[in-house]
Amino acid sequence: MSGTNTNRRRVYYNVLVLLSLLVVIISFSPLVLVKDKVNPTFLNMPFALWTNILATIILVFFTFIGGRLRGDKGDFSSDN
Amino acid sequence: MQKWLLIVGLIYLGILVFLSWYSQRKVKSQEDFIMAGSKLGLVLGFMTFSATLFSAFTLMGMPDFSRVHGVGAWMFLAFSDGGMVFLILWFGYLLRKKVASIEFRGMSSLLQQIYGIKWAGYLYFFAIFIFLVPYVAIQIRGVATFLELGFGNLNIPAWLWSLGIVGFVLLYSSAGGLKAIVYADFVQGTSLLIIVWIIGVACLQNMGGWTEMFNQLALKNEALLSTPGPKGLLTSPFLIGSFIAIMMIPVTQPQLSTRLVIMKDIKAMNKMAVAVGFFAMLVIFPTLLIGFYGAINYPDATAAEFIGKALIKDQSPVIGAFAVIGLFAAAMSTADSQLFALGNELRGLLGEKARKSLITIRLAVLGFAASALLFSLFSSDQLVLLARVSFAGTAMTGPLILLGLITNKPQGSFMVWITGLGIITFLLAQAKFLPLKVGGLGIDLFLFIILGLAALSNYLIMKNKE
Repeated sequence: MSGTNTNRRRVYYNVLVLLSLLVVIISFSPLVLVKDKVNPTFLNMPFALWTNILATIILVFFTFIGGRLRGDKGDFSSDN
Repeated sequence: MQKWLLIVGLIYLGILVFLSWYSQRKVKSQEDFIMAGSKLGLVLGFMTFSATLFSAFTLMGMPDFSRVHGVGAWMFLAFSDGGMVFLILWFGYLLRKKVASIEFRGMSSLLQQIYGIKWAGYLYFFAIFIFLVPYVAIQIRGVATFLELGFGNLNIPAWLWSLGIVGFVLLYSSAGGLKAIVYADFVQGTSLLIIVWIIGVACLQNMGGWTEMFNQLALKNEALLSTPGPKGLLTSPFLIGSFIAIMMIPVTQPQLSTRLVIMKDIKAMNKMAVAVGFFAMLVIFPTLLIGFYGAINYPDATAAEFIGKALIKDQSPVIGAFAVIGLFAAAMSTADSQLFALGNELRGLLGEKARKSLITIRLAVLGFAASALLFSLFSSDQLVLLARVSFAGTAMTGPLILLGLITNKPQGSFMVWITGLGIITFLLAQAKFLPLKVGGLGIDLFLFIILGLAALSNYLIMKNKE
């Protein structure tokens, strides 16, 4: 039972790593890094600023989730 | 303002002296002096990590960087820090797992043990020496130049300010060891956060508020509101290279790797990573506000002139005094950790007899401090770009370290030699003997790719040999 739980956590964590990579790739892609693109704005912030603040918040949130998934020993075991 | 500066300065120095004395009393063993007892909890852990990471580079460099290059400054540093804290979860676990079975005497010594090759440790030490000493130096130089300009009426030259900063760092770090540095970091990190927000908010008010700030920026230079910025610096290759270099800082810079090892447990380390991520966002955001204030009011000033005006002359005397002390704190919080880490790394490479004496580490820290002081007399004032060279230079050792940590068997000498070659190539490119760009990529990004692929190939070949 514990082994299954550990495997599930590991899978979720790997998905999280892939999602983080996706955030990084999108952030560096022409979807976000567009020369002279200011609009759409959000709270008056230009596009490049608010999208990057959002991407940073997502990465920090993923760090929080990743830490929970890795568990207290960091090896995905659930005996927290 | 000088009255306030004297009051705030004396309080600050008093706190440092007290913390130094307090930690000295608590140091009972070599382990206490060098590894601060290796039981750091969440709050002390994240404050010492953050204060070590964010320095004069943040308080002086980032406002100037966003003044010149606009909103892309956030992506350059804050987004890269987001990637860095995510990496800590994995790297910290690998590192702690490895040092659980090997006595941790610094990263140089660890690499020697993992690879079974002395040169692995020497190469790492060479890399951190060649890139960290200038990094410490540019911070000291940055603050000293600024103080010389700001307090011209005192007739204190920059080198004397530098000597003062280094002197204080040596005083408390050699008295109380890493524990004193950790306590000092707590005070310095808190001061940095409070001061940068006070000045950031004051600048925002001065610009007429949030909406007006962006309106004025658009009027001044619309290129500030997007990447790659007015000078075209913040392109994808530059930002990707910076992202990798900054993300690798805890892997490749011993002052931060050590902080991952001395955390109480993995749970505290993981929480620390999240807290550092939040701290990064909190501390970088106001530096952008200060930078935008400069872009609107002082677009053509030099870096030192702008910082002097934005942080001191345009603020009330009390805030100006806090800003000066904040700059002192920022320079010291990074310099102390880096100098101490360099000393510890050297100690780790020495023989058993030299290792057992604390005099070795004290002398080594003194020697590195003298080198940094000497270098500070000749370095330039381009804080952020020089810091980036330092980050990228140490990041060259990243694949070597990661390969060593993910495997349990010696990986041969190939990675040691190719990393050495990579570092030399990078240095020659910085000295303009080799091109700074290869096929449209910056030399750093090109080398990261080559070294990363080399580490992967090495891993697969060794795995198939088993």
